[in-house]
Amino acid sequence: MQTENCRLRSRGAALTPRFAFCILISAVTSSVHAQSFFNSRGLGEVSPAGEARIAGLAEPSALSTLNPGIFVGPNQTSFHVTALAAAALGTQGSNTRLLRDARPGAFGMATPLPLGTRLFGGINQKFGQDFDVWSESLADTAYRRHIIGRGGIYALRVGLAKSLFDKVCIGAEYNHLLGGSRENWRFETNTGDYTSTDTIEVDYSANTFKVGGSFQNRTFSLAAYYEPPLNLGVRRYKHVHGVIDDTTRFYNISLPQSYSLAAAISPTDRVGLDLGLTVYPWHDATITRSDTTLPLGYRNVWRGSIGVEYEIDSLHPVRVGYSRQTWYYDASHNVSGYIIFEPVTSPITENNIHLGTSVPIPKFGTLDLSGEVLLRHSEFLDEVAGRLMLTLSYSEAWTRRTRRWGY
Amino acid sequence: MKKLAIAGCRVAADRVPQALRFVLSALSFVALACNTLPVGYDQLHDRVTGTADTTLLPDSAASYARYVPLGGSSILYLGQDTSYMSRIVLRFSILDTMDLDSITSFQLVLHQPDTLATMSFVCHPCSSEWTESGVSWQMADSFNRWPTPGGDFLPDTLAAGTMLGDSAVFDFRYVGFDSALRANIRDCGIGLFPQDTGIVAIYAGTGTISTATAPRLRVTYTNKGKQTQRVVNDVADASLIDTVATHSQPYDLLVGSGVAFRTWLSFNTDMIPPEATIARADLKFKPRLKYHRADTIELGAYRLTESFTQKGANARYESLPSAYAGYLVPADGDTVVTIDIRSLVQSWVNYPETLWTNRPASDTTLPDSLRNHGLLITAWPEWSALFRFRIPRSGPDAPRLDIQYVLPPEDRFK
Repeated sequence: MQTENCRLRSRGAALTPRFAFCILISAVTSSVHAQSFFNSRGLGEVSPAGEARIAGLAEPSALSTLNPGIFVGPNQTSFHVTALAAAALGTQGSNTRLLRDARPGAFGMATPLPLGTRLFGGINQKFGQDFDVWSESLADTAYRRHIIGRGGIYALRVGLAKSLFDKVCIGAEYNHLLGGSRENWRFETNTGDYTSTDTIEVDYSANTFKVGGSFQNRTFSLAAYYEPPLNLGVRRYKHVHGVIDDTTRFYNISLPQSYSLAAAISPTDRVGLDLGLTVYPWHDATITRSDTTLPLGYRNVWRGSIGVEYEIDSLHPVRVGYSRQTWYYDASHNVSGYIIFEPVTSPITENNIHLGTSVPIPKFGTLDLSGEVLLRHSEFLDEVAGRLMLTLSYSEAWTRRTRRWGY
Repeated sequence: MKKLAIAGCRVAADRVPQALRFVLSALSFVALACNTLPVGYDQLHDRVTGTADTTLLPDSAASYARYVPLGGSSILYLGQDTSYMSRIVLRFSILDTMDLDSITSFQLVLHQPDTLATMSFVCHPCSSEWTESGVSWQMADSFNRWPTPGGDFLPDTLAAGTMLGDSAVFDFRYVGFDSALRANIRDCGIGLFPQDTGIVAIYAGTGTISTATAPRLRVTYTNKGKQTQRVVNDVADASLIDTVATHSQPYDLLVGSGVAFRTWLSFNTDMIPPEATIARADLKFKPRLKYHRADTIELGAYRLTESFTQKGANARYESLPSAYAGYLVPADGDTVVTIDIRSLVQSWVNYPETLWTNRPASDTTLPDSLRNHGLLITAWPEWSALFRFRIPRSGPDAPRLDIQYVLPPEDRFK
C-alpha cells in the first residue's frame, strides 16, 4: 500500500516525457537568445558545461560529463540534451541595453561496453561569440555602425572510460573542435541608409585530446580532467561589400593547457557540498600568421565554485551555488570617445549566483532546471546576465541520483 | 453569493497595481531590448578603422546634343514653338488586295491626351523607307540618313485638318492615287506636318499597352451589299524632333529629351582607398529649367566605357543607367536633383587609375572599359516628355558628389 502511495505521489509531481520535451523544444525555438557585450574579443566567453544539474551547483565542470573520467558506476545507456536561454543587460556610463539569445546548449550520450568500459560522446559549445553592438547614437553624430556577431567554437567529443573497483574511473576523449563566427558590419548613414559594408567570417578547426579521472564513494568524490595545449587553425574570410576582391587569411592560435578539479562531499543523506576549480593559464597564448608569432595578451585565470544540494524530499532536490572567475581576456575602453587613442584595457570579473532543481520523469529520467545570475564587471562596462538551462536527461552517470529515483 | 462577489472584487482590486507593475516592467524590458545605445562598442574600438566624408567637384564637364530615335515613345509630338519643331511619321499595313472600288470612305483617326489642345496639320506621303527603331530627324534608320534632314516627303496631300478634342477623324486620300503611290504609302508611310504654333501630344501605337488610342486608318467599304468597317492600326510611328533654339550658351551643360542633350561629368576618385565601401554617393546639382512639358522629369546616370576626352560625343556608355532619379519640377525652381550613384562610384574606387598607369604595357588583362571615364547624365528615356535644363558649371548649384565611405574593420585576431 505504501509503495502504491509513493507511486501515485510520484506521478502527481512528475512531468510526462511529452510535456518535458515540449518545454525543451519551446526553449530552443524561443526568441530569447546567449550573447555578451564582451564576446567580440578573444575567442569569446568560455561556455558552460551544458548540464543544468551542474549549472545549479555553480558549474564544477570536473563533475560534469566534460570530464571523460566521470563515468564510475552506471552500466546503462544514458543521454542528455540541453537548451539554453540567456539575456544580458549591459550598462556603460548612462546607457543600458539588453541582448537576448537562445540556442541548443549541449548533447551528450554514453553507452556501456564490456570489461567495465564505457563509450561516450557529445556536442557542446566551448566558446561563444554572439554579440550585437551599436556605435554612438548621439544626435550630432553623422552615422552609426551596427555590428552583429554570431557563432562559436564547438566540440564534437567521443571517448572511452574505464571503471575500476566501482569507485574509480579514468577516461580519455578525442575532441574535434570546429565552428565559426560571422560578423556583419553594418553602416547607417546620416540620411538613414542602412547598408552592410563588411562581413567577416572566421572558421575554426582543431583536434585535441582530454584525459580525466574520478574517485567516488558514498560520502566523498574527487574528480579532475586535463586538456593539453590546443592548436586552433583559423581561416578568416573578409568580404568587403561592393569591393571585388575578398581576402582570406590563415592563422594558428595556440592555447596553453587547462585543467579542472572538483570535490563533492555528502556529510548527510540529504546534503551535498560541491567545490570546483578550473584553471586557464593562458598568458602564453599566441597567434601565428605567416611565420610571425605574437602574444594574444590573454591572462592566467581561474574559476572557483561552491555549490550545495539539499533534498527537500526524495524527489525534489534544490541546488544553490556561487562562482567567481576572471575572464582570460580584457575588456577594452576608448578614453576619448571621439579620437582614436590606444584603448585602455581592464580585467573582466564575474560573480555568479546559481540555482537549480530537478523534476523526475517516470520511466525516463529527469528534467533538470537551472537559473543563473551572472554579474560581469569591467572598469567601464558592466553586464548582468541571466541564464536559464533545461536539461532533459536519461542519465545514470551520477550514482547518488540513480539510487534516489530508483531507476 | 454576495460575500463571494465582494471577495472577488477585492481580489481584482488588489491585482490592478500588480498587473500595472508587470506591464510597466515588461514595457521597460522591451524598451531596453529595442534600443540602439552604444553599450559595448568600445570592445570593438581597436578594430574600427574609420569612415570619411568627402565632396568632389567635377574635374571635367561637357555637354553635347544628339538626334536620337524616338520610336519607342508612347507619345508623338506634332508642332513647333520657340524651342522645338516636331513632325510625325506613321506607317500602316494596308492590304493591297483590297477591292478599292467598294471603298466608300478612308479616314485617319488620331487621339490626344490633352482634349483642349488644337493643331492644324497636313499629311504627305514619305518618299523613303524608315524604321521605327532608328528613325530620327537626321536618320531614316540606324545606318541611312534622310537626304533632307527632317525626312523626305512627296508633295501630294493625303489629309489635312485640325486636331481637336480627344480624337479626330480626317478624310484620307488613298483610293484615288495610282498604284505606285499607294505602294509608296504602304512601304514608306506618311508624315504629319504642323501648320500652327505650339506643340500637341498624340498617342502613339507603339510603347503603349492599349491599342484603342493608336493612330489608325478606318476603311468603310461595301461587302456583299453591306456597309463594313475595317480598322488598320499603325505598325510603326515616331516623332522627328529638332531644336529651333536652345536658348543657351555654347559651354552650357544641358540635359534634355526629344533632341537628346547629354552632360558628361568626370570625378577623380583616386584619393578614396580601393578597399573602401561606399556607403553614400549622391550627385547633386540644382538645374535651371529651360523647357518642360511634364511635371516629372526622369534622369539617368550612365557609366562611360570609353574615354570622353578622346572620343567626345562618340564615347560609348553602358546600355542601362547605373542610377535613376526623378525630378519633380518645383514651383519655386529651388529643388536640388540628387542621384544616388553609389554603385558607380564603388566601381571607380575598385579600379583606380593606378591599375592602368602602373601595369606593364604588354598587360592587357584589365580592359580599358573599367577605368573611370566619368558619367553621362541624360533624360531617361530620351524619348520621354520634352524637357531641357541647364546645369550650372560653377557656384553653389553646380554638380558636386557627396561621398561617405567606410574602411573595412580590422580582424578579430591581429
